[in-house]
Amino acid sequence: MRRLKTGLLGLLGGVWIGGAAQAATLPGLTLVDLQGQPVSEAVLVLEGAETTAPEGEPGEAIVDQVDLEFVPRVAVVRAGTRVRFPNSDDTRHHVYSFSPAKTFELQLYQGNEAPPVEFDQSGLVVLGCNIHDSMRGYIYVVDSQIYGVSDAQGRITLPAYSEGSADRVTLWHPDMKQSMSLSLSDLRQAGGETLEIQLPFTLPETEPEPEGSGLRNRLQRYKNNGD
Amino acid sequence: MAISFRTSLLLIFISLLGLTLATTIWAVMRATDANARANAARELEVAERVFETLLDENSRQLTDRATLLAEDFAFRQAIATNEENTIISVLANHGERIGADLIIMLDPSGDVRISTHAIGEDVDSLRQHIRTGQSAFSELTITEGQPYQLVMVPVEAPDLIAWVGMGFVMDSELMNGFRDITKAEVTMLYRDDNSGAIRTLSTLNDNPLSVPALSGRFASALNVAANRLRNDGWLSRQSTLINSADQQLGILMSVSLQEALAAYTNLRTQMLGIAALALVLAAVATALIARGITQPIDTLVRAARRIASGDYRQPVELDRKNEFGVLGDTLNSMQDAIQDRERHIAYQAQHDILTGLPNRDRMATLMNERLSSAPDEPFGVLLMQISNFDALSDVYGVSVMDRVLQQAAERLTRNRRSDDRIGRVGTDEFLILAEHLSPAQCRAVVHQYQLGFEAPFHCDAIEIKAETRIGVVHCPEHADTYEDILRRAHIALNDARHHSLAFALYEIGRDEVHLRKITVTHRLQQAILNGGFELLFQPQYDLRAGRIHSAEALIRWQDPELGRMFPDEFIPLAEQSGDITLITDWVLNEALRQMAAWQADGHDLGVSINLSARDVLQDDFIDGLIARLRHDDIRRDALMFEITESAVMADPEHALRNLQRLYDAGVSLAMDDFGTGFSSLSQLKSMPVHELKIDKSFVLRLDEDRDDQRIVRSTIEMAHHLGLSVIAEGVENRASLALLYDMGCDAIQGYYLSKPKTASELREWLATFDQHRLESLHA
Repeated sequence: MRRLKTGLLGLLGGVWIGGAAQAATLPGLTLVDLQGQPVSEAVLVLEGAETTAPEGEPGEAIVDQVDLEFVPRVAVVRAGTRVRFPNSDDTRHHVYSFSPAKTFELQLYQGNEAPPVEFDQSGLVVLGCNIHDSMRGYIYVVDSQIYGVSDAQGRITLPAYSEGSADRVTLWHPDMKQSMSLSLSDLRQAGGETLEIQLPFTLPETEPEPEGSGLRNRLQRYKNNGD
Repeated sequence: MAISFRTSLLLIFISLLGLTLATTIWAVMRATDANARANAARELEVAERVFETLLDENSRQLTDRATLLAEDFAFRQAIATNEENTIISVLANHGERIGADLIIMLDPSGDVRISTHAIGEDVDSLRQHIRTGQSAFSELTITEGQPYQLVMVPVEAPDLIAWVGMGFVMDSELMNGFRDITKAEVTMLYRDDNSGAIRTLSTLNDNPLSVPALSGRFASALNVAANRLRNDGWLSRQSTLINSADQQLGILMSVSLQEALAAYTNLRTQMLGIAALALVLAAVATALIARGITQPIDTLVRAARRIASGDYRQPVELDRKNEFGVLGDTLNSMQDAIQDRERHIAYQAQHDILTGLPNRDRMATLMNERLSSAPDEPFGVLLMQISNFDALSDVYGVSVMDRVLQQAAERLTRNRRSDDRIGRVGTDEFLILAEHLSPAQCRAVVHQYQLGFEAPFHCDAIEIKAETRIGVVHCPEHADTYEDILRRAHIALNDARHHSLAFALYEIGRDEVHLRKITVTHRLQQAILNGGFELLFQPQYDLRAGRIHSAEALIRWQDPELGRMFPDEFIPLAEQSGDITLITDWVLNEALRQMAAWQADGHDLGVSINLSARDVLQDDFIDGLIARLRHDDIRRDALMFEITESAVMADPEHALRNLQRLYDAGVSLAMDDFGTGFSSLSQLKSMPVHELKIDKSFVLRLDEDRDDQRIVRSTIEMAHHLGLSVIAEGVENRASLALLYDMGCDAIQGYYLSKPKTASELREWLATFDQHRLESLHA
């Protein structure tokens, strides 16, 4: 496996050319941080790429709220996608966003009370809950048809795309200050079956569940004792 | 150990100053200490007020925050849902938002809807509040062993739907915040039961109150805590914030005494530094002052010692204008005065005040100096005496004679040869040390000095003619020590007097005889006082009666120093000194005692006793003798006194008178040593004697010398014609004895018969005396 260093040089990687002349695929990518740790929940967008499949209308996406968290925490949707925010918790949520790409508010609701929200503009939308300050979710709205989110091992496999429709990739992660842009040709030149891309940041240490939620626990305990 | 002046001055000054400084520092330190404590107490008071204010401010802020939270729409909305889970969510979320540690929600009625902590009994007081007011409030509470500031705010939507309480734990962070502002250490003491251990939360390092834990009554526990802190150097002020049956909370504000005193510690250090500096300066100054005093004193003491040791020459040099200078000058003038007086005394000690001439001591010194400086250079010593001084003095008196002596001294000085030294060594004696006096010049020099006395001395209208005699000694030929010179000069002077000469030279050898005489005379006097004489007896044989009829008492003297002394030597000296009378007295006593003893033994034995010329001329002696012979039970007829011719010759008239008195008193008298003197027959005729004793010089060789035989024979005949009996002494052989017998001598004495014997020897001799040995003469 070859490793592609990012840096000032920018991108790396060889683009593996598929059998069909019209369709192209990128090799399997693995995203790591500066420490070499696999980076999950990172977004990779092949800017302007078009799918080789016949283009469909943007569909619906779901960002659930489970155990006071948005699931998935990072979602990528094509512009125009309607996203539903079902509440799977036994507490109400008050989902809102002040992001320029989409400003909205779903006041205290439970279950599937909330109507879907359409994200018609590309950009990053940061989600929050007014009564659960610790809840945070990201909806990355893109115009491209080709994109992916890294799994727990930091792997991304993109679908095939039409040759020549894209020349750059954009990489983003919630812990990155800015998104990163790479030239596709650099990626292609790096070549190989799989390619490791190092992102210019270090994943924060995974903190243990903050004890602050002691208040909730205590209240919960009180409630349970009272029942 | 004697402490020097300098040291004692130093000690006194330093201890005085030290005491003053110590007292001052002590007083200042006491004042500053009290001040520091008062300041600290004031600080604490302020700190406590600040603390209270801070606490109030804190609860106000918390109240504001809680109020703001309760007014949040979402919050109210969530509460209003009345869904427990949502309420829990929003309470927890918003509680965390404002950093609450405790959350409680009450119904508007006051029932606890939900709570993070078992707030317990305290709810009652909350309910009390809730019922009486609608606005937010805060209070302190202790729950689950933790102190909290609890803020209660009403939640209105728009009617009151709930009371939400947000509690903030009072932790060390809060305490530290308070400490930073109040500048005092803050200790919180609390417990949520009435008797358990009291918990403490303190900004102090190693909280000294944690172990052992405080317990008991809260008020006294606070005191105990304050005391414990005081022991650790903290000044504390206590206040009780909660004091209910089941909750107690108090605050101790503490400031470090050490810090409070720190400012003064600096002051103390400075004061100690100043004190030390002052002490050092004082010590130096005192040392300097002491030196300024002791140095001149040392000089003066040294000078005084020097003067005491007799050195007056060196002046005291003390170049000061102060009292020491005056003292030094005084010492100097004292020195001068002493020097003058000493010179005066020395002059007086060395000079005769009357004439101004050197005195006897001075002359001795001069003479000794002369002898030691040039012992071989010949010089003469002239001892001049005014021979008629006593007679003149009797006539004219002392004061006139003093003037004579003064004039005499002047004349001598005037006639003085240049190198000669003249001194007055006795009342009427002058001593002249005549340099380079050769025997040839002697007469001329003597004449030169005596010339001054030819002219009479004039005192007022009196003319006095002084006669002088001079004894001359040539040195070192005649003598080479002052003693000898002076003594021999006196001998020469005496010789001059004896021979009525104007001057006499010392004759070599004179002095030894003289000295012997002096010694013997001196020893003789000792013998008279202490004993040492012995009386021997030489028997006398009566040729006619043919028996030992008497014995001559002969004195013997055994002296421890001089040895055995013979009467020939010491009797004339005793006659000269006048001691003879005492000796005769002793002899008389001894002889009389012995005679009495013989008589008692049955020996009819008389005694012959020699009288000296001096005895005979001494009237009172003769008086005493006669009186004694008359009174005592003495056989006067057995007693014979022998007198020499010369004894009578000196003053025949006087002697004869006294002899006559003895004769008249019935005492037998014999003329001793007959034939050696020059007595005329006419004198012999007038002599009141009974017996003649022919001198032994005629008898010793009588048997051989025909001249002696003729003299003795005729003497015997003559004596017999004059009615005197005759005894011969010095009979040493039988031939002489036979001759004397034939010549008709009455008695004999001599070695042929017996030598002189002690009394006891004589007694034995008498017992064995062979009468017949001599009786044959009769045949």
